[in-house]
Amino acid sequence: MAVKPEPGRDPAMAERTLKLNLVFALTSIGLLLTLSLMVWYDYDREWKRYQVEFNKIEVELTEKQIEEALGKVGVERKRSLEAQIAEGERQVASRRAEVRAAEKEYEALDGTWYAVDQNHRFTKAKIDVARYEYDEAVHGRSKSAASRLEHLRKLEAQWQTYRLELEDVIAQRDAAAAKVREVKKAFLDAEAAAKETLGQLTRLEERLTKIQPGFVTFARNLPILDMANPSLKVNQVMPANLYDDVVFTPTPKVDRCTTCHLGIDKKGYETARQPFTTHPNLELYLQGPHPIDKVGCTVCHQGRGRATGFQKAAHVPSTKEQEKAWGKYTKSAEYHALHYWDLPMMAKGTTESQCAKCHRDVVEVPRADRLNVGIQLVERYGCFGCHKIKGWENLRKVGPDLTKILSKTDEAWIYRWIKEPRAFRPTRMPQVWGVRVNTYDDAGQPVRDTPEQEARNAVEANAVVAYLTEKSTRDRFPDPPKGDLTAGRKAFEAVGCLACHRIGDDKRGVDSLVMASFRTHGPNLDGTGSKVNAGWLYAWIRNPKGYWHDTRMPNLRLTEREAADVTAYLMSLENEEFEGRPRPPLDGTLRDTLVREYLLALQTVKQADQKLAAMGDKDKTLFLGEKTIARYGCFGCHTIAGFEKTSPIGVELTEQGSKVVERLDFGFEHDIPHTLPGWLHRKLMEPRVFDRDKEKKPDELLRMPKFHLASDEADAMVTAIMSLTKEQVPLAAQKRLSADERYVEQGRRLVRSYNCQGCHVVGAKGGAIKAVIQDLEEKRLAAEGKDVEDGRFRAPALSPPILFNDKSQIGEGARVQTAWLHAFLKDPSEQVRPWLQVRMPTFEFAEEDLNAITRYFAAQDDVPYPYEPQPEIPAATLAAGRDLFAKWQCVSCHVVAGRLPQGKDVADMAPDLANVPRRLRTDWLAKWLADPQRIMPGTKMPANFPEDPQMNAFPEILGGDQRKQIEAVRAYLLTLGGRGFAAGAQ
Amino acid sequence: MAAVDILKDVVNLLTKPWLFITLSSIVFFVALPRPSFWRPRLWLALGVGGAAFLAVSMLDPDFGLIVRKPDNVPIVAMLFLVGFFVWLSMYQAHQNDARIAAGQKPMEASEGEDQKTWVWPDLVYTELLCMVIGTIVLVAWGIAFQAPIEEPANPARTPNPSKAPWYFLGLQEMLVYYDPWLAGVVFPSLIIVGLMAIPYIDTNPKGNGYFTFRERRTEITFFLFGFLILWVLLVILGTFLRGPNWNFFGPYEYWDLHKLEALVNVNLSEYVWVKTLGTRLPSNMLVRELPGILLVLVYVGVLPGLLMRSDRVAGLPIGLKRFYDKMGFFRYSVFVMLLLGMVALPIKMILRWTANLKYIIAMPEIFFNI
Repeated sequence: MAVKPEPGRDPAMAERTLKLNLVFALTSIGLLLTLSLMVWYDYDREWKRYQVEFNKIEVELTEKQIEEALGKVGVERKRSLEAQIAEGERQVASRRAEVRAAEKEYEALDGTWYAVDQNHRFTKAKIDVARYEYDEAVHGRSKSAASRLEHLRKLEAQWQTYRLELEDVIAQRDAAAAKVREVKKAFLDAEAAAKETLGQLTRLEERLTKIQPGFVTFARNLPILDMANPSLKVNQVMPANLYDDVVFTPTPKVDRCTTCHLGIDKKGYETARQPFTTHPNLELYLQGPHPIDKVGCTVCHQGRGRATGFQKAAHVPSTKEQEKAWGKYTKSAEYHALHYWDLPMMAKGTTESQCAKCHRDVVEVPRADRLNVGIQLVERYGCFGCHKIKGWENLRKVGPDLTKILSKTDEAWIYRWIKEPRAFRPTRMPQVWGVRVNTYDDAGQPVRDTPEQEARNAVEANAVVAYLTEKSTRDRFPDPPKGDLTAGRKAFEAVGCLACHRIGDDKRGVDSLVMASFRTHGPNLDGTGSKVNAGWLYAWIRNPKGYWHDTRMPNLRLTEREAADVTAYLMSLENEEFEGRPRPPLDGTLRDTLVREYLLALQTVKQADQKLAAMGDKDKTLFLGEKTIARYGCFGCHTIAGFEKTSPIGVELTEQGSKVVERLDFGFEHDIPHTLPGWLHRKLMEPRVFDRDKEKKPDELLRMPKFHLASDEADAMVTAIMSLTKEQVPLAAQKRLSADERYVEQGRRLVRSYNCQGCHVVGAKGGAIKAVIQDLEEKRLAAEGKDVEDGRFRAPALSPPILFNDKSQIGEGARVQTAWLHAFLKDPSEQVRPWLQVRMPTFEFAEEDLNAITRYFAAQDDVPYPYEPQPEIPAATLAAGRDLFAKWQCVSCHVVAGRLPQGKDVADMAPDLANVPRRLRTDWLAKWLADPQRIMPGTKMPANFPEDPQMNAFPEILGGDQRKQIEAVRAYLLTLGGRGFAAGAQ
Repeated sequence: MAAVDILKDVVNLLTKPWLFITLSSIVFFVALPRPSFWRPRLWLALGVGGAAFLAVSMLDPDFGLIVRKPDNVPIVAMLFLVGFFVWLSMYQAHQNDARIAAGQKPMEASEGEDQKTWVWPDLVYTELLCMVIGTIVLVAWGIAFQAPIEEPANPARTPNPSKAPWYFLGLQEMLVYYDPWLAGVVFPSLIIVGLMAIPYIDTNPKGNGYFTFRERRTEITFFLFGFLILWVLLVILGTFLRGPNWNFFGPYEYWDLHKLEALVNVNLSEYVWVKTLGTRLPSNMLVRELPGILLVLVYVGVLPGLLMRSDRVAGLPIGLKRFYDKMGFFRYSVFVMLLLGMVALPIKMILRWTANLKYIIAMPEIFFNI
């Protein structure tokens, strides 16, 4: 048996061991290094660097705030307060023996209290146990129940003793404490005074010491030690009831955005660099109705809330420039957004789209202007005509009915119009032909249709015209009576047509994107004379619904004379350049080629050729016309005979906002951000640009027409489209409408579709016509050589009334009685202010719409519906009211029972007071009399009843009391109209 | 620049599956029996050259993107390991062959090589060192390459290309040529069963305890062909050269999602009935597929019998008589079935490349295709 050699004894083995020792030493060092590296890589995070940087900014800001606070208090004052404290301390020190004795007594009593209190509490605990044991004994019918009860009673008695003892000790201790305070009074008072004055400063200083980096902070944040309680740590918000849909698995949202966005919920970082900037709208979001701890961040902004890195959080650039600038985050020339997350962060400006997830079933989301404008534009441009959108299926088509088109215009006009609508007038009708971008020239300008395509376009347009005229009926309208052009123009401008229509590039009242919709509600009327025949126009303006039942154009109740004048004026608006545009004849050969292309799509070559040969000339043209309309989807906006049931041509948009970017065809467009909003914007601006430089057959080309949108309009529409998402926010997290709010929304829908805001201010916007009235008034004043400035003050009195004042939250519902409003809306011919030229048109509302509108106004103002409570009117009050009415000379401005005030300017006249009892609500009357400007800014009605009795003009009546005087006048007003008025007139 | 582009195009062409596999097979059969091919210097040059090729190619963004993918980095490393160990064994085998031819003992049996080493410190200490080094490598690797975590799994939106784990990419590549039930079920089972059966089939006692090629020429050739060409090569192909839609992309090509390839493969039945006989396909499935069925029956039923009769069939040295003589009927049957199964893959590959053959038997009515 071999002897086991010792390493030291066997030289070969010793050598090997030595070698292995060396390798072991080296590898151990290697292992240590790699492990250290591992710890470092785990420790060194992107977000920690942000937190360190933010800490510096925070310290700076706090220092600045301390300086400011100090400046406010004053260094002198601070010093004197500190001196007072020192003086107090000195005084206390001088009575040291006394203080010490008092404190000793207090401490002794506090010790006694501790012991007694413990006895007291422990006995209470024993009582609970004894009670439980007794209950158990009773429950188990145990014999020991009686003895246990006895035990319980004993404990309770004991507890009572302890309680008395305790209360006694507490009283003694409190007395001792008071004594201590008494001897230390000088010091404590000085301290309290300083605290009151320097409170803010002290808080800031405390804060500074807390956030200032020092050794403790450093140690807390060291690797490994930082597992205990680091100052650098991931912040997170876990909003309630919100989930990320991780492929069929709803996962609770966890938003860690505040790990880097550290100043987001704090004031003072408005100018700090990103990611530290304060949220631009703290009041509405983080600290307002959408608190950060309940709502989080990603439900609005999207992105990956759990991530703590820039790219991993799915940040998405808003512009191409940003995409390039962000390249540093992905170490590439252009930023690559995280494509493993289906909900990339909203690009700047499109975030409002997410409001719609929770604010459902509303016409407008409060304060989400861009979304609201976008939705309205989608409605007005009729996107839903070609693109199915769930919930939008039953809207009226946005374009006019073409089944009677020949009744108002002729073939030549139709051809030139459909070929290029904007050559005729500014219009929402899109451009169908000639908008294809084939490539770009050296200057970067799009190169559009080639001559071959142009020839095809002409043939297609001709065929469409042929189809439309073939299917159209022709109603004959007799020539109108001869009208006066100047009077017509005046009437046209005065009665209110300009609330919905414009002529030329009229910018009055359409100055912002939010206001742009009102005066463009109806078509621009440029060139009307080149388009329609006078007979049709006359009949149309006298009774629009008579020609087209679904029109939204109301009846302005023009007399025959007025209508003839307006017709004469509108017919004088001609567009000769347009009438002179070429209309090439139909190219038969090319038409046959196109017809054959369509036939070949469905038939064999032989069949197609046979069919083509068998078709007559007209048949071929009509066939091509029908196919072209079907291809471009004209029927999406217009009623066209033969297309009543055809399904829309565009892609469904119901979940477009959730479309992932990989599913979009960017074609060869590289100059736009690689994002859904970027793509949508490009698509809206140049709908067929993604075909550029591609080899495609005519029937494969993109078809969406060009709407000639302004870039900001497209931005708003992108926001609207982004709001069409498949995300489902749980009901519990959504904004739920109350019953009243639901009525309000119903009404708002009608207000939108009848363009009430063209004339009336409703809420934050509307009243577009006021700008026109003011302008006309200023022109008139200038012509008469009067002060033009005056027009600004006269305009409110000459304009339609405000229907809801956003500031005071008082509107038409609070003002008028439901029955009156219902009757007035049904037939507004009995005007409240007959001297006004602008008039409320007759909308011919259906009864359910009338109910909806009256209910809407009542619900919006939170007033009773439909009946109004009637106040009692004591005789004495009535007399005082009559007195005040006479003294204030109300009738000098107000009409009473049709009697106009003498020698008054129209801008100073006021409504008929005889209507008050059946028109106005009594509560509103009181508010109105107290402060009319609050309800109707710009009104000429004076505030006659000041709150302060000293200011009252007639202090002898009812003691000058505002409320009593108003009640009296109101009481008197409520008796007007019938016999009441007769009595008052005496 | 143009020269570089031409070079890239040449590499892209050489790596097209048919050319890549064919060339590799030729090199394999030529090099395996030749000792001159296994000289250490040549292989050192190959290793250095391969590394240099990788490094230079990394300058190409498309190449770099695929090779640097955290998933693929270990595969690249393992390619070098496979090369090294194959060389090591073959080099020693050829050395031993030369020694045996010269009447000497193999190296493993020579003097000085039968020494024993101590468990402590030699073995245990070395094992400890290996553990330490392994840990270092794993930690460094974990730091250098983040785990390639991708999007939440969504059955409605699968990644493109959808790739199996790297060790299954050879199987996935087989799917190009065979139906899932064969490429995904039968062949993998055969591989496992076959590997287990090797000790029972291969009763040649030569080569026990030492490397040799000449004494085990057929065994080594069969095994290494299956391992290197039909497994490792296909893994390389599946990892580096298959992109979106499982289309082929050369190493310097951009993985374009929109790349199209015309699918013009035809079945054997179409060859027989439509192209040769000029009739339409018979409506009866079995009649229609009769040629294919017969062919397969011949392949598995007649061919083994034919091969066992002599060592040369039709003048080629592919007869298996000597194996039959050595193994006996039962063992031979198992062996020949496994062999035919393995060879079925290259046969189908060649048919696909040369004749656009889709299926030999195509019965989609009962989901049975070969």
